[in-house]
Amino acid sequence: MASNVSHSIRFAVVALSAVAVAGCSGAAPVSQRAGSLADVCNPTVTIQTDWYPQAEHGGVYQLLGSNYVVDASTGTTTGALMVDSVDSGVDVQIRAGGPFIESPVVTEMFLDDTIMFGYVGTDVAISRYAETPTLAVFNALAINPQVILWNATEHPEASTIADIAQEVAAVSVFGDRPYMRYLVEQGVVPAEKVDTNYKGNLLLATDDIAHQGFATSEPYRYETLESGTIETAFQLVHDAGWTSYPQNLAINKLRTEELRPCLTALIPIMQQAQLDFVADPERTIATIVDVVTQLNTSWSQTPELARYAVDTMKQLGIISNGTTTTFGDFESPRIDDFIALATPILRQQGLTIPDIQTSDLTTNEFLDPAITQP
Amino acid sequence: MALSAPTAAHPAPNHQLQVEHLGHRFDATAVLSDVSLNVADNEIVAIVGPSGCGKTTLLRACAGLLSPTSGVVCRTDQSVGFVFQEPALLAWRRVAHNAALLSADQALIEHLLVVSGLGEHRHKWPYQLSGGTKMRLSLVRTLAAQPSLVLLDEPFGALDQITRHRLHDELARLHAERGFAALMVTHAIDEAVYLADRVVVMSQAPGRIVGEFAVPFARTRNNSLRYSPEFGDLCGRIAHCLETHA
Amino acid sequence: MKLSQRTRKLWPPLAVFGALISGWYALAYSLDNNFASGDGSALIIPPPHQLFVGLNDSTIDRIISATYISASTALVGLLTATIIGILVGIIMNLSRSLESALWPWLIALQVTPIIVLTPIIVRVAGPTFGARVLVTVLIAFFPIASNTLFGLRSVSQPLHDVFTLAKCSRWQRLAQLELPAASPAIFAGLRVSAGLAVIGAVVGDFFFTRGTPGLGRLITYFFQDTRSGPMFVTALVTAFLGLGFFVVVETLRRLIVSPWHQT
Repeated sequence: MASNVSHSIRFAVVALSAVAVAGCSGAAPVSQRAGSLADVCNPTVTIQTDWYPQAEHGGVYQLLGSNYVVDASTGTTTGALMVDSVDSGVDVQIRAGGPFIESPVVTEMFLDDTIMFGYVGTDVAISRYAETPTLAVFNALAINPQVILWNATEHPEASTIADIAQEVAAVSVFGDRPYMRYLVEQGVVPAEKVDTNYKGNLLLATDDIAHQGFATSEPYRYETLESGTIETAFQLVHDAGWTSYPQNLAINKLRTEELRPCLTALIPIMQQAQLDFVADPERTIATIVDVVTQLNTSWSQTPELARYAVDTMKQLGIISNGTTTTFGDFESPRIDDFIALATPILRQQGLTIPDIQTSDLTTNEFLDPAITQP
Repeated sequence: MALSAPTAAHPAPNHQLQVEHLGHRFDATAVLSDVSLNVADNEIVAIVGPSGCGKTTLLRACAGLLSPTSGVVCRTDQSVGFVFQEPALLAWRRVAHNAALLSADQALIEHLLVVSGLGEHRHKWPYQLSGGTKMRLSLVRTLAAQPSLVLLDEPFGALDQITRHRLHDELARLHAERGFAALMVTHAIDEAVYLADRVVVMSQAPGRIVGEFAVPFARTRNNSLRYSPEFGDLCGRIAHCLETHA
Repeated sequence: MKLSQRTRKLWPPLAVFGALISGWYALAYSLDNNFASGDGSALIIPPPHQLFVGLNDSTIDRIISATYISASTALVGLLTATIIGILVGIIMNLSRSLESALWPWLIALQVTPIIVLTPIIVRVAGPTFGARVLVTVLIAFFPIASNTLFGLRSVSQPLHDVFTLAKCSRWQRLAQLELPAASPAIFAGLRVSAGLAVIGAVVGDFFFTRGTPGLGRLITYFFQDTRSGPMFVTALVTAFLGLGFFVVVETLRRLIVSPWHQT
């Protein structure tokens, strides 16, 4: 009897110690597979994107191999994170945004501990710095593909947003966006013409309108409508003065030290993946189209549209080195200037914006300077 | 609803109301058949009869609120006073204002209010008054217009006995002071005898007149009359007539 | 009423208020990562003491402008609905055939969620103040119309006879008998419509997307920016706006109807 009890006690002590030790090793559960990232990253690297899968997200979908699983109810795609066709030892999970998330991406990054990266534009990062500070570690798109577009046949003379704003009845955008407040303040768009109920269809609009869109998408879609081609013209909001980086890969700044080892190993991989995508997009375009099909929503994506997007991004300099040779870095005078430009606009909107520097919002430390777009 | 067209003929002199061969049917049902009566100046005529005998229809035809299907109604005066079983007061007007609904004669209204004991209530709302007080106000309102003919449709039917008796004296007093002809419908025989100069008995529907009784008592009547054998005798005879033709 | 009696009457509503506040705190602190922000502010639901975080001058200005838009829409809408509602009630009272002709359309209007009709109205009438008022009127006028009809019909025959014998015109009868008699019912309908007018003004706001936003659209903007404090404050302002309208109508009712009307 006594020996049974002491046996049980010993077993309990050993078991408890094992649990304690496991607990003490802290941070991440360990990946089950071997690979280059297995020791430094969580078993799943989760990236929260801002919309449905599209060519603008090509760099992250490039990380998927041929084995991945799509969960249509949550909008997530999960598969092994491949580097040069080799399993890195961890999975990557790409989450679609838009209707799949309740809060904006930057808020989700703080509400959900499992998210490692989110797409955060510079303007959003500034807006939310006080409550949900983020640190941008890699920028996949040097220029914002967002445009204001219009029917070019009806308005052959207009070439800028200022031009078209005079001619149409309304400019239709999605919500109360700071870039539109900026354009109003600059006198580019008259305040009474801004319609925040986004109507993104020139065919269905009862008024003559211009609307927001993306250079990589709407022009192609309008040209290939079943009901007949509409020729559109546009101006990038970047060219109108809103020089925010659109889609930075950012982390929850409070977790920087915790994520440092993984970032150091992973960011150069992401730089290269974006360049690989642009150089030869076909495989990943097929992945994106497949994922969109499996998500089974009203969003559609064709290989032709995706190719058009890639070509447009190359043409307009949306994917480029910028002014330095390092691909994907954050360029200082540009961001300084943008912070100075955007802060008063955002404060006027009622947001609390502290005085911040470029170095508060971005870091180039994890980038490999040797990786450059040819 | 508009009033019926004024009647062609004129009542006989010294008469306020003349009804000849009045008949009325609602769709196929005859309610009144061949009623003839008249009311002289200052005379009070009471009509008693069983329920549904057309008494109210008769009264409404006399007022001009109804156009009879046969017969003639003549009145000397186009305007006529009408007192309903419910006080029909305007709830949103205070007592004094209600009294002034049909008349602009402030002095007369004031006098009537005081004489009827309503002076102390003049600033009250109708809902604050008892049933009997509301009825007195209804009388005051009607008489303020100085009608020469007043029609009353079971005016005290909803009140308790003591209040009714008080209001009988009230009405008698007002009649003595103001002077008007009155045609009053009632189902209470004692009320008819106490108040009227003549009591007319109607049969059941289709109503016609089956009896007429002169009331021999002097004009100034008081409560003790109710207990006199003559009073009881007359009530009994009227009741007998009513029951025979009911 | 003695002071102790009066304070004793306050305990039940205070207790409910206390329970609501406690529940609010419990909810705010039980949500995962509600306070995972950089500055400790709430990301989803702010607790009561954090309600006014983020309420700087610009934000307050926006809320005031929005309140003005929604309040003026609701006010003009309620006044219009009152006039139209009473008129419709009067018209339907004129004859049974008019009543049976109009009544089904009124019911149809009442049961159709106006939110469904609003985009059509905006498309046809444009995103103008008039269209906002129209949406509000459509939502708010039915209780007034039906209560007016009910009130007008409730006048007793003897009262009508008194006016007939006095040889009154149709207008005199309407103004001096029927409308005063119907006023308790009309005010009862007005109480309901007051709240509906505010709801109509705020909810219709979602579809009026040009120009200064009203309270409804402002709430969505704060939501898009994850500014939970201002969002809740705007919601509270909306509630108080509705309450304010109700109190005004109730006060009018107390002044005009209560003295003489005993239900």
